Parts: sequence; C-alpha cells; structure tokens
Amino acid sequence: MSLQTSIDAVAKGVALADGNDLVGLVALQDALLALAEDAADVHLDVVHDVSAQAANLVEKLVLREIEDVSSALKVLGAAVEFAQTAQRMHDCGEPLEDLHSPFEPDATSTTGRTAEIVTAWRDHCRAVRVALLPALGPLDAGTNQATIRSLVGTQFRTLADESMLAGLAEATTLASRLALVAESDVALDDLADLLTCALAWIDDACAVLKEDPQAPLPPLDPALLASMPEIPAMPTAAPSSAAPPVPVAPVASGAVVIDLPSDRATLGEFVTEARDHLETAERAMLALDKDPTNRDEMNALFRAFHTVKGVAGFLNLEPIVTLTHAAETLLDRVRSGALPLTPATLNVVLGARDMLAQLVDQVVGGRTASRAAFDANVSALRSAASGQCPTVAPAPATPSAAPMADAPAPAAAPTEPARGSAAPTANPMAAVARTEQTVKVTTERLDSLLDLVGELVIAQLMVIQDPLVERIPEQRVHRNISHMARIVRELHAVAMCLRMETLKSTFQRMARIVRDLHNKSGKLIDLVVEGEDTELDRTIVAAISDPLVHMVRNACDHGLEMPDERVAKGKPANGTLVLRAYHTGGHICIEIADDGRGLQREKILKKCVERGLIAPERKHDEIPDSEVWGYIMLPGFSTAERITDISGRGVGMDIVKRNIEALHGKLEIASTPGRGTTFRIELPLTTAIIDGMVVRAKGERFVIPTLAIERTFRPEPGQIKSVLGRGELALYRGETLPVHRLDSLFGIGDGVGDLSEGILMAVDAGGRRACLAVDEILGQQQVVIKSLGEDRWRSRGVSGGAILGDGRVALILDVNGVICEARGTD
Amino acid sequence: MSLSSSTHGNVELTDTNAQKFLTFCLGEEHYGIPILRVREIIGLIPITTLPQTPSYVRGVMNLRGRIIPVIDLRSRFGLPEIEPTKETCIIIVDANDGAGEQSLTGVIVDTVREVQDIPASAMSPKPEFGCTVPLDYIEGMGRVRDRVILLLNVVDVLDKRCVAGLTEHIEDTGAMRAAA
Repeated sequence: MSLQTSIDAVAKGVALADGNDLVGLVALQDALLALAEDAADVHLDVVHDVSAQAANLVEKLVLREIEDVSSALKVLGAAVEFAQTAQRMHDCGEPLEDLHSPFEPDATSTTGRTAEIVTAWRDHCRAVRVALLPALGPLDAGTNQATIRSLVGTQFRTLADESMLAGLAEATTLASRLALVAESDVALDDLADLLTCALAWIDDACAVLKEDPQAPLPPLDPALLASMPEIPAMPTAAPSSAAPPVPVAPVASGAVVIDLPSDRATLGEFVTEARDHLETAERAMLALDKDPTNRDEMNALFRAFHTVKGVAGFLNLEPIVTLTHAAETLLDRVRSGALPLTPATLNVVLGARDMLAQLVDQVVGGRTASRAAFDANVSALRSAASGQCPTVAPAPATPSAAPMADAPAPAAAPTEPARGSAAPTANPMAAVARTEQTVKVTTERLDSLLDLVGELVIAQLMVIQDPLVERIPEQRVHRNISHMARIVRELHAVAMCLRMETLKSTFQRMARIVRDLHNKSGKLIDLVVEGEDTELDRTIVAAISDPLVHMVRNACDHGLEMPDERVAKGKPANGTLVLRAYHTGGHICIEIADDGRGLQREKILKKCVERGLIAPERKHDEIPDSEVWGYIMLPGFSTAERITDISGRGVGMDIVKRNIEALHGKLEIASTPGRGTTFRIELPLTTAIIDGMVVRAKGERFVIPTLAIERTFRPEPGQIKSVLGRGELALYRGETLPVHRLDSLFGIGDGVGDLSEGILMAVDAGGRRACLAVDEILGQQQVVIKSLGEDRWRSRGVSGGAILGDGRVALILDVNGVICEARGTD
Repeated sequence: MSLSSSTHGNVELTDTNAQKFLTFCLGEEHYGIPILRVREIIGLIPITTLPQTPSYVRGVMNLRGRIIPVIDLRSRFGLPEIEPTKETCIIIVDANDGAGEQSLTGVIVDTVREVQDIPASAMSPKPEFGCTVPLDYIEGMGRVRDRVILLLNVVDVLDKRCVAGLTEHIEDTGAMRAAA
C-alpha cells in the first residue's frame, strides 16, 4: 500500500506546488523520487519512469530553468493523474500499454522534440529577449561596445546550445551565426538590425511551437542568413539533436565572459562552496577511477556538479551553468546505467572539473578561461553524453581536456597580456577581487576565541584600573596603555561581529509558513518583510525562530480575518502581515504586525474572570490594556472558540514569552480593535553581553538587566507599607507593588533596615512586577554573561555571572526567577 | 603553578601499580587526590556567594575569565571552620566523571603538601571507622612512610547528589552497574 501513500504525497505536493516556493518544490521532488522507487519495487516501470521524469522537471523548476511555471505544473498534474490511473489499472490487473505518459512525445511525432524541452526553449528565448534589451536600445555614448558584443555573443551561444538540445535546427543555425557575428567586428547598429530581425523570427517560432510543439519552424529569411557569415563546421541541416555537436572552438576566440551579479556576499559564498564541491568531485573521480562501480562516489560526484549548477543558476553565472549542466547530463546518464563509466568519460569529466575550477577562479578575479577551451570542454561533455560516438568521444575530448589539466598555462597565456594592457577589461577584475572570502570555522573554536577575547578585555581593564599603574608618572606608559586599550576594544568589536548572523533565513522560513497557512485556511495574506539583513547573535537567531513561527501562526490564524469578512468590514481582502526587524538603541526589535481584527479585550477579560485571574468585582474599563494583553501570555490561556490544527490550544504565548525572556528580551503587545495587533520583541544584540545595572546589597554586588528595570527611586517614608507577616509593599505610580529585599532573598543580610535609606527598583518581568530593594546603585555597564559552571548548583533568581572590572564575579539576576523565589518564600 | 602540564606527559609511562596523588591537609589529616584530576593550584581569591546552595558551596570565582564554583572541603566534611591562613589555597580539580566535558571546580583546603607516588602495595581499602571524614568519599588509604593518606573520590565529593541520601545514591549506582 506504500505506493498509494507515495502517490497521495505526490498529489498533495503537486496541488500545493508554487514556482516560488523552493522548499515545497524540493519536498515534492523528494516525494516523486520516493514514488519512483516504490513504483520500481512493484515493477510498475511506467510509473517509475514518469515520476523520475517529473522529479527532473521539478528540479528544473527549483533551479529556475523553466520560466513557464504554470505549464510545467500542468505537466506535473498530468503525471500525477497518470500515476493514479496506472496504479488503479495495475491493481485491477489491466494492461498498462494504452496509458500515455505526459512526458512521452506522441507516437506521431517525428521531430523527437518533447513538449517539456520546447517549453524550456521558449522560456529561454524570452529570457534572451529580456537580456538583449540593452543591445537593442539606442546606444549611448558611454555604452561599452565590448560589453554589448559579449552579451549578445553569450546569449546566442547559449540559445544555440538550447536549440540544439530541443532539436530546432533552424534556431541553432540562426543563434550560432548571430553569436559569431556579434563577436566579430560588425558595427553595433548593423548588429541591432540583425537582432531585431532574429528576435522577430524567434517570436514567430515561439508562437508556432506554443500551438504545437511538434510543428515545423517557419523558414529562416535567406536575406538574414546571407548577412551573416557561414559557419563551416555547423551542421545546419542536421534535423536531430542526436548528431554530435561539433565544437565551435576553432572560430570562437577570446575569453569566457561571466556576467557577475552585484551580490558580492552571495558570490563569495558561492565560490567557497564551489571550491568545496570541486574538491569532493575530484576525490570522487579518483575513487571512481579505481572502482568505477562505486555508487556512493558516483552520487557524490553528481551531487557536486549539481549543487554548483544550482547556485550558479541562481546567480546567473551563465558559462558555469552551461558547463555543469553538460557535466551533469553526462553523469546522470552514467549514473542511471545508460552509459558505461569508461576512463575516457572520466577524463572528460575531469577536464570539465578543471575548467570549472578555472571559471570559479575567474569569478573572484583569477585568470580568465579561454573560450576555446571552454567550448571544447562543453562539447566533449555533450558528445560523451549523447553516447552516440563512443569511439569519437575520447579522441577529441582527451586532448582538449588534458592540456588544461596538466598545463593551464597555454590557456591562460593569451589573456595574460590583455589583462595588463586593457584598462576597461581590468576594471571588472578589480571589483571582483574584493569579493569576500570565507573560511569555515567550527563554532567551538569560534566560541573559545570569543571567550579569550572577553577575558582579554577584563584582564586589560584590571591592568588599567590598577592603582599602582595609575600612579606611574611616565606619560609613555599611559600612552602605550591607551594604545593597547584601543586595540583591545577593536578586537572585541571584531570578535563580537563573528557571532552575528542575519535574520534572512529565519524570515524566509516565515514566508513559507505564511504560504502554508494560506493554503490551509484560505486566507489571503500579503507578507511584507523588512530589515531581513539585520544582524543578530547567531544563538539568538536560532532561539528566536520558534517563537516567531508561533506568533506568525497566531497572527494568521487568529489575527487576520477571512477575505469576505475583511471586505465586509471595508478592508482589502488581502490581509497584510508585516515582519520587520530593526536596530534601536543597542537592541534589536522584531515586529510582527497584522491588520486583522485585533485582540478581543472583552473576550480575554471574560476568560480571565472565568479562570479567576481577575476579581469579578473589578471594573473592566479600569484595567489597563497592558495588563489585559499580559494575560494572553499565561500558560493555557486561549480565547479561540475552536481549536484548529494551526493554533488555539492555548499552548504557546507563554512559551514564546519564556523563550524571549530567556534571551533577556522583552515582548510588548499593541492592539487596536479592528485595526490589527503588533507584537514587538526587543532583544539584546547578543546573548553574550547585556546592559546591566550594577547594584550593591550588603557586601555583594549584583547585575540587574536594564531591560527589566522600569524605574529606580528612593522611596519616601510614606511610600512603604508594611503588612504584618506579609512583607512590605511600595506605592509606585498609583500601584501597589510588593517589595523584595535582595539581601534577605540571597541570604546575605537580615532583611531589616530602613528601606528609605536604600534604593527601590521597579522591575517588570513580563507582567510580573515588583520592587527590589538594594543598598546602592554602583553604575550601569555592559557585562559579558558567563555561565556559572555547570548546572550543578543552579539557583533560581540567578541567570549567570559577570566578571566586573576588579576581576570579581557578580551574579546576574534573573528578575522573573527572583520574583518567583520571593513569592514562594514570602 | 600548573601541575597538569608536568604530569600529563608521563601518564602513559606510569606503572599501573603506582599512582600519583596530590596530598593536602585539612586540620591534622592528610588527604590525596589523583594528580590527573588536578588542573592547578591557586591562592585564596575573592569568592562570590551563591544563593540557595548548600553551606559547603562557598560560591563562584573567576578563573581567568571563566566562572567556576568553589566548595569548602572543611565544611563539606563537617569540620569546624577556621580563619584562612597564608597557606589556605584552592585546588582546581576537573570533576568530569567520564566522557563529558571538563567541569572545573575549586576546592578550598588548608594547605597543599606534595605530589606523592603511592604504589598499589601501599594502598588498602577504606577503614571501617575511626576517621573524621564521612567514609563515603574515601576510596582507600595509602601509607607513605609513617603517614596514612586518605584517598578521596573527587567525583563523589563534588557531587551535589551525595549531600543527602548518600547511601541511596551509592546503592543506585551499584544497582546501575549491576544492571549494566
């Protein structure tokens, strides 16, 4: 029955599929692969083939190789139907011959083109058209002619490749000739005319193919062809893609041109990753050389090229995609057993790997790869993949690959002087050279580095603040000390940056969740994300993710109304959910704001009275909003009338709140009925450092997180009320707050003494409020939070320790814990 | 003075029958702890009290930027407190009881004596009675010249669970071992 389950999973995945939801697509691809395996287990070979092909298609969607997403999704839908029918027929014992796979061309088709390939080709044409816009427009004086030429050249060269794959001979001819023309010395105006004609023909062809993928293409205008040079080696008349593509290497000249995206950071990551994958690929190939049957290594090799292709596709690194795609096609055929893994094949792939390494180097400003070598590589891969010329493949491939592997010098030699002389071409290089390089470091090492830096800061403070040092008369010593202090400060700042991570991936996850919820609930939700580049300590980023998920769910499920309800209220049908992160005075704020119905004050109050949280005689109008909203964060509190699978079980906000407080953060709620609710999380930049108030109680010093402190004040004698046997209360802004003496709580004092001689600090631990009595405030400073050894002697009310300037340890108070402890013992 | 570096090197070479112990005093009694447990010895430094901990936990201290707990062995063994002297010092031991991470703890003792080789032949099982220390923390006794050195089980001494219900704990671990 597992086949049925797999089909169901796939059907669900296809129904939910969305071209922009990469995670969902990858899951769908997995589901399809699982289905393929299950089908193979029960010998339903047709289903196996179809689902494998469908998985391939999904992969292309993931890699954004297909722009016509809706028709691809249609094909997927057909595939699911096919699988379902096949399974039913199989169960009934009916023969499956009559089934028609959505991927197979009609029996009547003679061209060998599949709808899928043609669709991809049309998509590619559209992309080419967009990319060529700058070449078509009126030329400004400042336009770099070489850039336009190479742009046109690259675009058409890829189009030629695609056309060949699709078996569109006319298009292949046209595109490859145009590429040659573009790279020759033709005047740009003439080139623009040619392009206009060519694009017009391509549009016609697209239109024809859209009607019927198997239809013959319109004939090429002979005049257009006549204006372009012949390509001696190009088999213009070859009707099939199976013919071995003849390398265009002899005519192609110059270097491979890679259009670099502006996103330097991603580019840097790509390069680091690509180098890793190249290493893996090489290792795998060497292992395969010894044992060609090793499936693990084969898969590793395939994955390496595949991953590089994926990221390169994302970054639009055209040549790299072309090369890796060719390599991947070859490897896939080898992997599936369609081709044997011969040493010659391996040589071709090795050559491709070296070429890829060179291209990756080029991305970060290394020497440019020669176009000829590149083309030779790609065509060697393709002819090897076509498998039609097993005897030919090794012959041209090995010589073209070998010189590159053994001696890259000749390939690089011609470009070397050009780099030195031509300033305009050198320019992009300079920009590229700045691409950030990254190194992988284990978090353990990073943490120990950060610890050491923290210690250095403290040790340095101890030296500077040493009275003996302060008494040294020599200016020189003090100058040197302040120099050292500056360096340490900078070192500390740099070390702190090492821990930082952006919220990007977390917010992406939210986008996914919003989409899922949309599918489940039918609510229309526009997610607006702002400030996803805000950096936070990575431990906080990790810890904040779950609470955010919860709050986003709440906002979608409880906050936003159904479309018809919204329209009835005069609001746009689409609800808006804003996820926003920003810096504010040493903290990070994350806001989750919806424009839904807002918190229902009366409902919450009713529930509170039911649960005995609020005395029934209290007038509801007098209860401040902040208190009401505070109740929703109590464990088990839910006003939802019905429990959905999304939320409403009353488990949640209390955990959210606890998680945020564990990070020394704060959660605030603002809500207007009918207008929406905003949850605002205020977090410290890092868990390693907090802003704290250093206070003294008897002989000990404590650090109280500044975030928790509402106000500090010296109480007037009349402000304190002593309740016999129940402790003390302080009147603060019209409220009565319990007073807890730190010294008696921590067993360092007797708990007597005049409170009005000390200081009271009104603290707020997420709704629980109290006054803490201390003797004196020593100052406010940032402290590095350290754990108190292990949990062996963990005490409530203490969240950690801080080493103060004199090297002694002060305990950092966990205000919530202190209040709990005090209530328990009072 | 760090002892760990000087002794680590020849651990492998040590005759399995002879062990090195760091010996120290509490009052009149001599005690020993396996030298491999000892990370370093430092003088008495300021200690911050930890609330809600047993009385023998003196608090926490700053060991070069790391905060570690400190226990007072005198009060752990129920000996009367004394004023710290010049010789009072803190032995930093690693109480890690197996594959886990390093877990450093400071142990306040009256005075540190020396590093002593005690051959297996000079070791005997723990006494049934007649010493001031709860026997459960003692692994055995070593005789060096005319002295008797009580050899401590560091893990148990530092283990909070051993404060109350000590015997249950021991039975538990015994049962666990038997089960394993």
